[in-house]
Amino acid sequence: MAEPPVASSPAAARLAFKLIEDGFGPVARDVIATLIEHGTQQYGELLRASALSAAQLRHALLVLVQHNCVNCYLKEEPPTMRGPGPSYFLYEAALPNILQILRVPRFLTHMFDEHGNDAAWMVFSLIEHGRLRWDQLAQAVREHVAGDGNEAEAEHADPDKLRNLFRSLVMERYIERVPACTLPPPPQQVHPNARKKKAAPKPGSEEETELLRGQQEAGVRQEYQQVRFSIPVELMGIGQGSAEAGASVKPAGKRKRTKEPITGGAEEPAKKRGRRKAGEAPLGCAEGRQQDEATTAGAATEVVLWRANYDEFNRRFRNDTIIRLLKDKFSATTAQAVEGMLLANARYEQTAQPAETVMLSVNDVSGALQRKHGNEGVPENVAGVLRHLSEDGLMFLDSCGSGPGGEQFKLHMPKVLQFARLHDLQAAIRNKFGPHAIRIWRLLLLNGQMEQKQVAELAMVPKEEAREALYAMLQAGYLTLQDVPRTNDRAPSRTFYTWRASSHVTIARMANDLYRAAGNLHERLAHEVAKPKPNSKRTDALEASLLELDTQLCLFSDV
Amino acid sequence: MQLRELIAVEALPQAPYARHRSPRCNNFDHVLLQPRSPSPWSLFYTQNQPLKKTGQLGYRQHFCSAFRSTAPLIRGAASHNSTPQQQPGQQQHCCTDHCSAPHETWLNCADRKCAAMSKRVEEMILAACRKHPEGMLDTALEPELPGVTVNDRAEALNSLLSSHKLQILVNPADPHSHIYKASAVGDTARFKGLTAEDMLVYQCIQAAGNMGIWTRDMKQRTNLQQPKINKILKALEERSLVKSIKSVQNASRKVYMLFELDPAKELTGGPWYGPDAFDSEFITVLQEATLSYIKSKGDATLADIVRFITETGISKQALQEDDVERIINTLDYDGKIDSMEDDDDGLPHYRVPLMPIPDTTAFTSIPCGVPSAHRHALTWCSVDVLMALVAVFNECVEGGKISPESCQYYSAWLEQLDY
Repeated sequence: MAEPPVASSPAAARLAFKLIEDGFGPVARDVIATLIEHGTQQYGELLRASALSAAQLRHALLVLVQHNCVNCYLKEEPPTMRGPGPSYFLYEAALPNILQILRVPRFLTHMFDEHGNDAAWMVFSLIEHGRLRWDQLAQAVREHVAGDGNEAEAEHADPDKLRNLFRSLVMERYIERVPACTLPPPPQQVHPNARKKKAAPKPGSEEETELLRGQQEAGVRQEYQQVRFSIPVELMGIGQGSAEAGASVKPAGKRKRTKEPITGGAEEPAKKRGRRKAGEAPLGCAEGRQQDEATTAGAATEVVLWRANYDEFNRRFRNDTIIRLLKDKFSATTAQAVEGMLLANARYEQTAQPAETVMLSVNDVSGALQRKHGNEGVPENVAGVLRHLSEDGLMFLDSCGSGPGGEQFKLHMPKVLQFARLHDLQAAIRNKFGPHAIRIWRLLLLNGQMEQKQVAELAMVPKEEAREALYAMLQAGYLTLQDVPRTNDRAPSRTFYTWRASSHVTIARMANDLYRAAGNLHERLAHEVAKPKPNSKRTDALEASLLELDTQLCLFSDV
Repeated sequence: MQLRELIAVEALPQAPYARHRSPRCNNFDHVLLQPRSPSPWSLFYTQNQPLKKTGQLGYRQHFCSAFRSTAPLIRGAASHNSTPQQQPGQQQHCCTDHCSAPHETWLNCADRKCAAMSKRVEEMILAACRKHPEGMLDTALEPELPGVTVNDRAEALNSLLSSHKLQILVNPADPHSHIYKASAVGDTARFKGLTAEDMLVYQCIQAAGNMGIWTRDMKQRTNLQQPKINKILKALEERSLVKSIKSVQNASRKVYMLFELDPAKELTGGPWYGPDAFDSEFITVLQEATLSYIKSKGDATLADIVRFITETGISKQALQEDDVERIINTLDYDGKIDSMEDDDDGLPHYRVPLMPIPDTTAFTSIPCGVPSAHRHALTWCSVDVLMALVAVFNECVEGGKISPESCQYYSAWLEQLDY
């Protein structure tokens, strides 16, 4: 199972504070700082901890929630003997989303390259405003296009063109529905070492109730996942009321999507309405929720807010990294074949950090490449190329036998990404600590635990240099030192000290250093910009360095 | 009467170590014992001890003066049978066949005769031992010396051992017995004047071979005091019998070994250590040569690289495959080559990597990442400053003494960009 990178280090939080203060002011910064320091909180707790006035806090929260920097959940306590339990809203700082602010220029560049100017303006408007309805989004795009000097084009633009573009972006998952604020909070993540094996709870016990409640909450979250990329009827472009229009457009994939109900609660059979009791929603039934919404809204259309899906952008960047790495390491043909695998696997991915692709046949791969690039983009011997890659010692690809579509393979994405991270990491170690240090680090990585003397001998460096390099890397957190005492008193003269290099630990440390460096760059940029006569050359250089650093951060932290 | 005189002789004060006396040889200065036990060490405690002077008269003088007084009586007892009549006024001769000097006393003549006999026996022993360079048992030596009595043989052996012409060693086939071995020519002169303690220390060092022995270990084995050992070692070093070597494993320890031996690889560290210290330059030269060879060939095995190094003569000393493999491994650890096992021959092949470690990344091109280009070019700061960069990175905080706003490294970096 892949370990999802977590951007929760102090250096990442420091950078997040700077970005929030830049974009939303010091009050918002204080709110985020309180949420990060104290964790998920209710409004009252937040008010007390942040020492802000109620009005300030309310406005700051609204802005942060609008811009997806704070997540809002509805926590419902279990019912007691006296009646249903209380429910309250919880606020959580969305640190990964905040850190994506740095990457916005890259998102826009990617969108411009892939889908053109209008698509870029669409994504920009969503990022600028946080979340918008469709009509607001369309208006914003028209304004931006007009602002570009294309007023005539903006006036005479075909509304369907924008709608089609929007639909395609939703189907490609660049844009998603904003989750409702009534979603339950995510489950607490327990470290694998802390997970205890529990026996099945007894029927009727409190544990069983807890378990059922957890399953119900998971079901509600799953409902959101099912409608996350579904397009409402009014955006289908076909007349309302038709049966076909009632079906929401599903992205192609094996996941089944429940059909959305026909808008307008009047058409709903009265029997169905009557059967349901107030305040009740059937388990795992999206239909129920949407019918409720439709009922309460009356004849009004469903209000859907849209926002940019950063996960999808990161997923695309991850795929680009994998393809580029395989092209450098193996060949362009191998990179093409793997690109086909990634395209074919896209519809099966739920997050940007999956463990491995599903089993894909050669036909799936060829088909995906053909759809994307046409016949010319399909290599001649896809099966042979993939077979050759599966036999390589790096084990990026696993062969899974044969199927109806030909030979089947599975790509281990975490392995490829780990290889890419190690590649960058070694460059950083060499530059930071010297050529002997990289030799020592790789030696320890390959050979496991070793004593200082052995390290100097195998690395063929003088003992003094080996000692300096080892302790410098230890201080920076790139190596670990373990003592193996021979006596109980752990006297240094009677203790063995062994050195060890761990790729996971070092990569995490490197990610922390990258966030720290990004924070320093950002601070320096702010300082240069704030000067009475800012030097544009310097500010441009700092911005460019920050963008490049963010590219490296994406590899180490977000994929 | 004869018996009485003999008893008188027996009553004379005995030399402390004298047990066996030749009935004919009267020179007790060099009476040495047969070894009390097979151990060679005991010899050095029991032989070659100078006779201690007892009072004003030495033991020799004391005995000889007493013997002289009784000699005429003994001669008188034996003179009835064989000795010629002594003319009045004429001094007695011990014999007439080899004494040319008419005025030599009988005593001196007997001494010379004994010495000549002893010398002859010694030569016979040396000749026999030289025929068997692997060494001879005492039982094997006996047949080689016909007509030599046990006592004569013992005396000759002791004499040869004391003069370092012969060595006595434990028999490797039977540790309870010992063998005699002729010393190398020149050893006599080399070991001349060395005392038993000197030889003890020397043999201790000899036993250590080319690994050498530490002075503390010497002290434990010889039971001698440290100052004594130091004095002996100084004397041996002056004679160029032993030398001291510093071990690369423990630089503070000096080990001693025989002068003519080459120290073991564990002591010297192999070809990677020069006369004083670790030879980094030599290693760098080898690495560069190996890398350029692999680049030119595209694909090379260990045997190819060893052959290349031998043919080009980069190294004055002969490098083994293990040594060259270590050099190749360092290149692998540096990321400059890749090692892959070939399916055809199963041997590792070394190639240039398709994806070498990049020279620079986004992180390393800003001051926080300590750019390597500047480390080598020294364009905007010195090496010391660059090393300090690593240290201050973790201390950099807004508003602090070290902060991004006031960072001199950032300032220098940005100034460089201005140009």
